[in-house]
Amino acid sequence: MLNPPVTAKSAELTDDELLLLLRNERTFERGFRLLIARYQERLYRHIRYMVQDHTDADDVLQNTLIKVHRGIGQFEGKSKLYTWLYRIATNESISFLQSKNRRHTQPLDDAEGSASRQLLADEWFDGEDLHRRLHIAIGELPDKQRVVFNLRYFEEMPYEDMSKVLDTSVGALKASFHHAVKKIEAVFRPKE
Amino acid sequence: MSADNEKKRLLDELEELGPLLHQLKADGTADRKPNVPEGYFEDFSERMLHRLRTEGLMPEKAPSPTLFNLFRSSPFLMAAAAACTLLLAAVWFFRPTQTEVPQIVVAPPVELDADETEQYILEHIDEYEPELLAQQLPPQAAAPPPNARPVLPKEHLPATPPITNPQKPQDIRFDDLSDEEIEGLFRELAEDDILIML
Repeated sequence: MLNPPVTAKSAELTDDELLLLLRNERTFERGFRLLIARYQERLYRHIRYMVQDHTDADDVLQNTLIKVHRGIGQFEGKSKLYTWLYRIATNESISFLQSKNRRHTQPLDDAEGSASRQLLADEWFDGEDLHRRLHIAIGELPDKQRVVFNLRYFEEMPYEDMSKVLDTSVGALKASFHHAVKKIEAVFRPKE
Repeated sequence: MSADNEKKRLLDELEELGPLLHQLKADGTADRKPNVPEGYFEDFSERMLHRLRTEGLMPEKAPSPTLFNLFRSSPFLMAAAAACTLLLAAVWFFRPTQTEVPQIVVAPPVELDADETEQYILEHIDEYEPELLAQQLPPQAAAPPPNARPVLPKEHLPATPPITNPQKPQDIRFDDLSDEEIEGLFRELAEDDILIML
């Protein structure tokens, strides 16, 4: 999952070559199209697992790419392009969820519960019962823990890269992931 | 590190930590993609770029110069294009309909008698090589004696003095004769009754 999805247009280009296109005014649009083609599905999935709803995920993905468009000129290439993109997508997702929670003026626990209920009603999740219950359990996690779990479990991102995305130490990330796993396993464990 | 290695590391990590999550990841259940509207990703980049342009974040794409616009902007170019089109059409219209291989027509041989042949050769003697002429001669004529003179047409023969008849009496100049020759000459003439000796 770490490798960018192969597309006919972007398969031959490395991220560095993509950045060269994005730094030239004449080739910027082509580079931006290639960037979208390469990363749209991965970023969408990451955002969707955070915000649950497709329409919300679509909005957040567009906001993410607007931030990418504005910031690509300042991107110095000190980190990998994909970790920079995930960082923006994660921040946008958390900002969206916080904003949504504030609008609803609900207590935090209720807000997380509503995410699960929304998932149940979301027509775009039609997986089997086990798959659906997994995402309900993920929806119950606190935002930061959910991000860590999604990046590690679904995106299979190494802790070192995740550390750059979330600006958190590797040790703290491992602890957060372990807590998240225990919580989810507890949801599936038969109640005594 | 490759994706496969990282997935193995994750599965190892989950093996004891979360058996259920390990199973869902190992059998692929966890990696099922969420449903999206049909064609969502196909036109996403277009919608994204449209939004960027609408919000003034990306300049409108300048219309690319089409061939029609190029010609419309310059009457000279339009006239030149029309002339070229007509020229090409004419070349196409008048092109050979089929490829004809030129054939060499060989005239049937003309039967000539000896006089005509000789006359023809004499009229075109300059066009022949001496060796070629020699090949056309009969065998006895083809090998002339070593002191034989080259064959020349009549009109090219040099003006030669008429051949004197040996029987015809020649003019004799007495000045060139000695007394004995003169006396012998008179004696012969007398014997032939041409001269009567007195």
